[in-house]
Amino acid sequence: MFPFNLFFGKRRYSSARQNAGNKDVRPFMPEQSEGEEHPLDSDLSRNLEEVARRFPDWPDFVVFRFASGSEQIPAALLYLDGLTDKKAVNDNILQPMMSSQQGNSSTRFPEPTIGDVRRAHNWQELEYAIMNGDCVLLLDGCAHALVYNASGWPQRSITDPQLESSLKGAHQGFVETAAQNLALLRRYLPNKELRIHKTIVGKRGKTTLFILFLADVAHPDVLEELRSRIDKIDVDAVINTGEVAEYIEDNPYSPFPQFILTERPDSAASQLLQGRYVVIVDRSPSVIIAPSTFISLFQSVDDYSSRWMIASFIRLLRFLAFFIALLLPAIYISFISYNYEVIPLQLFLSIAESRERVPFPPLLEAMLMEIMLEMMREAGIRLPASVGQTIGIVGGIVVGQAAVQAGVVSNIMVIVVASTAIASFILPSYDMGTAVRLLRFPMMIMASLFGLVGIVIGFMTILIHLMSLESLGTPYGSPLAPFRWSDMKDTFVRFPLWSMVQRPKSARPIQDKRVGRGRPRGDD
Amino acid sequence: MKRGLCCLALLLVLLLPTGCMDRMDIENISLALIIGLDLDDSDNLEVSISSPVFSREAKRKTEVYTAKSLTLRASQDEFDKTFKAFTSGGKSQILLIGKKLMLQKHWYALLDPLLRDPKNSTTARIVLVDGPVSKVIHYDPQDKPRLPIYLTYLIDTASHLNLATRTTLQELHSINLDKGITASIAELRFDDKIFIKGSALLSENGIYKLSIGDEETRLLRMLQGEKKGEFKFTLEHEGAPTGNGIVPRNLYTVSAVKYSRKLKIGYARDHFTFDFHFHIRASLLEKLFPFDVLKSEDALEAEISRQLEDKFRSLIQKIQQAKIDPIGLGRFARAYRYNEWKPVENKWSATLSDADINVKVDVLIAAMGSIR
Amino acid sequence: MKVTRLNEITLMQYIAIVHGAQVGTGIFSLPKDIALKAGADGWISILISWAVITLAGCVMLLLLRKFPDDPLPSLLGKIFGRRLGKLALLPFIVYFGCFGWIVMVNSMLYIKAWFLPKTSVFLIILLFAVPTFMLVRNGMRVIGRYAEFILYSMAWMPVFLLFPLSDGHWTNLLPILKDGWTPVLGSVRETLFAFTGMEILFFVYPHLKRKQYAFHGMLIASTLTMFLYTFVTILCYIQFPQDEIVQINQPLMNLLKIIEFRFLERFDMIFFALYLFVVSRSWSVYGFATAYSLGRLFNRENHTGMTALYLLAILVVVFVRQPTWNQSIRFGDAMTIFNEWMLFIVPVVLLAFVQIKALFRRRTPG
Repeated sequence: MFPFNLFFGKRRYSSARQNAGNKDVRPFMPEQSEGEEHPLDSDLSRNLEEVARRFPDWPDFVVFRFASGSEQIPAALLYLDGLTDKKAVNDNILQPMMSSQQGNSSTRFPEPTIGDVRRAHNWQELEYAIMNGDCVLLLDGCAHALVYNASGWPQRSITDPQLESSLKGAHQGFVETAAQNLALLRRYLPNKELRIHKTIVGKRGKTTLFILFLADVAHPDVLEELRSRIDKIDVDAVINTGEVAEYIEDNPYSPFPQFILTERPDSAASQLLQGRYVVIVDRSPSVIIAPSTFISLFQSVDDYSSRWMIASFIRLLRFLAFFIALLLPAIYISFISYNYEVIPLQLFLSIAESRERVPFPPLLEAMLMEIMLEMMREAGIRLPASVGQTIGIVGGIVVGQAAVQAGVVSNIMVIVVASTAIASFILPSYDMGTAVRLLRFPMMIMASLFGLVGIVIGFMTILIHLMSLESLGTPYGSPLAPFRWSDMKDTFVRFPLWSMVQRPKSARPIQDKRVGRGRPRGDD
Repeated sequence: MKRGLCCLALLLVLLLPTGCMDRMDIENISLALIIGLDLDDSDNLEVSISSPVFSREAKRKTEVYTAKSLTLRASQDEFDKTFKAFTSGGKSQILLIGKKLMLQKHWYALLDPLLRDPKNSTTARIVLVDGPVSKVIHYDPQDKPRLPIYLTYLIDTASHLNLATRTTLQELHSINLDKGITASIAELRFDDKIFIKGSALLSENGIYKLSIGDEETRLLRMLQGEKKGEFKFTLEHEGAPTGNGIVPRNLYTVSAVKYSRKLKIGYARDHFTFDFHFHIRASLLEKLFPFDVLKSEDALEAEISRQLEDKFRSLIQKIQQAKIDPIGLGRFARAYRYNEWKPVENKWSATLSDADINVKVDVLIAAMGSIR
Repeated sequence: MKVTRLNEITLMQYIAIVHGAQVGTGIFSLPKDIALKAGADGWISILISWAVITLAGCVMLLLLRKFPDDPLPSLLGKIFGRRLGKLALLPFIVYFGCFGWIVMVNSMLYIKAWFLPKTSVFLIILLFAVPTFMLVRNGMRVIGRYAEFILYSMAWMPVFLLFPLSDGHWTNLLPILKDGWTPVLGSVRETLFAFTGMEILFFVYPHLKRKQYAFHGMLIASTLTMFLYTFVTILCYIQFPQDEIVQINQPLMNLLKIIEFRFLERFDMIFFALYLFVVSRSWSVYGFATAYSLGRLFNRENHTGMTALYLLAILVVVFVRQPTWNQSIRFGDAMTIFNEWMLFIVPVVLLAFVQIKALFRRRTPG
């Protein structure tokens, strides 16, 4: 039940802590169910009959029969059109094989010039290979099939990530192919210690997940926890990273995101260096960074590319924006309904004059404006860019102004709502921004019922919730709660890079010195 | 267990909306920005309130009403009968007290509700009106902002210029209870426009005793040790011709830019002695006669010192004759001569009138301006 | 909840919890209570109480050092045996429960007076109960984090009290010890009550990771409380003359009312609303002590149910009795004796028991 689990939060206590040390080697494929161990036949025609039986009616399934090599051995190449790179198939597989060259001594046919070749011994492996976009070569007289990786499914070119654009950082974002994402990350960390674990999630979807970490920095307990949670995912298919994140979260009833979802390889690489784990989900451009803390959702890559004073200023601005986005409408409601004595006299008179014309109580007025704003925001996402601009101007300026003049809302309310909206866009993490947008409403309700006391109690509840939240077993509120002085160098302000010699403790790294002090001191 | 908790939570959630009983929307409040207390001709208590109007349809920006009532709290009903909204004292700026009322014993008890209710503001400035309060409170100048705002700025500015003392409700409460000092509050009069008259000094019981003008207020402030603000004095040059009666040729004005006050308390022959020693850094603001300040600086300084000492003396004499202690010498006596203070603490003002108060002034002219 | 690696607390959290348990709502009326008995020299009695309390804390730590991993219930179990230990736990439960009640109800009365006069007392306590429940059920770990965070984030509060200093009169404090030591010593009892909270060590000490600093932590915590109380009392005395202070119910609130800024007028309202964070530390710690002990009394590992029970009990009693200021003050006075027993007599008695048991054990086998 929803509200309970916020308060009575059922948390997933780590099973890994109970049975530690389960390190099994992941097989090439998910568990082989019994009875699928049908081996391939040596006879090509019987194999092809089986193929026709197993892959009926698939319009994009290609069976290309040819004769290979000088001995003209009957062969068939099976692949799914659209998932393969036809040029590679043509040039590197078919051409060599169909040429009438002598094969080398060990094989009876000329080898294709593709490096990645595997063998499939039974039908299940063959099906798996085909459905993953590999080409399967069946040869007459050969009891195994050869699987070539010539995948060339449609993919996006690498562009700037949409939600997390940066001014000075790289303009590459992750794409929907896990292998490409892996390559992007490898470019940042060409280090032997970068370990990659591969798992498959989803019975039907069979999505590949890669878990990356630096073996000498990241804490092994966390890896256990992460893997055990991923293994527990029992679902048909996982479409997006967000779903994976929701399945492995500590507290799915919390409004706050417990993992960072990012589309930037530089951001993911820097998190790896802190000792965190990156989970790349195939077919999805976001990667999960786990564990994460509340503060890390306020950090952005640009902070480290800019000068540290500016970066500190902007960081402080973000925290200010957090409070404004969360509390400003609630404070406004409480001041004009319960605690008017706090407002200075001149402001009081002008607010009272503007509120005098409004027939609604403050809560209703605020809710009206906020919901109107949320609707405009959602509408803006769906509209094409050209029309979106118009809505922005029409909605924001004209409707707001007209509403004030008609006396439906007061102009102070419009200012409050606009500031709140702008503030919630400043937060670098989209999930955090939405969390704040959501929490604004209960705070407004508390303020309209109890005034300033209601706001304090509401904030206390949120604070306690944040403090008891955990991300993969590490405290979410770190470095504020539990307070860690050494991590404060990168929390509210960003200290110069040469002073941040240690990795932040919140990820519990087992090796915590970054290399040396990067900058000679003084006039050396 | 789970379902039981669910029901409980639902019940509690339903109880929550009953919590908005304390809500008071800002436009439904009539702020009593000025509260006026006075006695009318038949000695009945008269309470007046001036409160701002927020409606755009109204022509005037303030509403004022005077009601007869027995106490301050009881008068709230009278105001609610005619004011547009709920009367509230949470932001009172000024408390106008009529002189007639302040001459009554225990008038101060009428202010009890303002101090008792925690929601009320205790930083309202108390002002004595020399005349009927209703005249002041109904004043609606066309060339000035709303009366409450105008009056607040007026009192605050006057206090900064040391034309009048500024005492808030909280301070008055403290001073009235403190045995070591008597109160001094701002005083104004109404003569087609509102003018600050100076300060009014109250006796030990909080009753009005005497008024002093703006120059004496400055002297009083200096005696109290108040460093903030301006201290300007216009003095007569000894031995200079007074001119032809139209342009005074023997006056000059100095301003004490910075000064230090030393106070020594002693006890000799059954009465207290207080020795003030002022070191003043003065700057010359105005000089209407020829005088070479550079050459005869010492003479001028000595003269200023003498004249200021005389002024101090006459003020102190006034104070001692009236048997009051606005300077707060009782506090010092209590701090430094506790054993002698203790027996007389309940009749301190009478004791002070017998005390020996001496003032010595040393002036240093720091600047004379752009012209000689 | 056993003391595991998961709910260990650091030294700073330990200090914050003990200091937080001590600072409750008493600080608002403390200057008046002292002034009634001791006049302007009352602030000296705070220093005396501090010394006395620290001594009591030392005795407690001496006892607790022998049971490094046992919060109070298991400690009593080890000294008296299982059955008797549970019986001995009952007065402690009552004690902590009552103190939690006192702090909560006092805060509620303040809120009612200053912010929400027409809202029912039940509703305000309900408001408090929600975050308290969340805090207490999560145990010492989250309480430690919360206490530490509040300690750091509310550290600016005393600084604001310096604003009206220029309008004050130092002479109110002089001469020091004008009436001698007797009135000062007479007011020590009041100030001692203000330092209540030291007995929370019974529950906090086992969770401390580095127990060698337990004494230092306790000393720092009570010193912080002492500085805070002395600071507030002296500032109130500077601002208000003695003759007035004995008539003001909460001198600290009056002091705050004087503070005015151009952009914010009634600063005392904001201050008190934020002070709720500070006070919530105090009642949650007491609530935890009660709920945990109740849990152990009924042999439950998880004290969530007991927390709900405790808070429900408070809600019911508040609903039925509708407490007033005077009732609350009288109840507090009645608890003073209980408090003094708990602070001074109980640790000594328990320590004596332990020593006697050790002596017996040494004799019998031989």
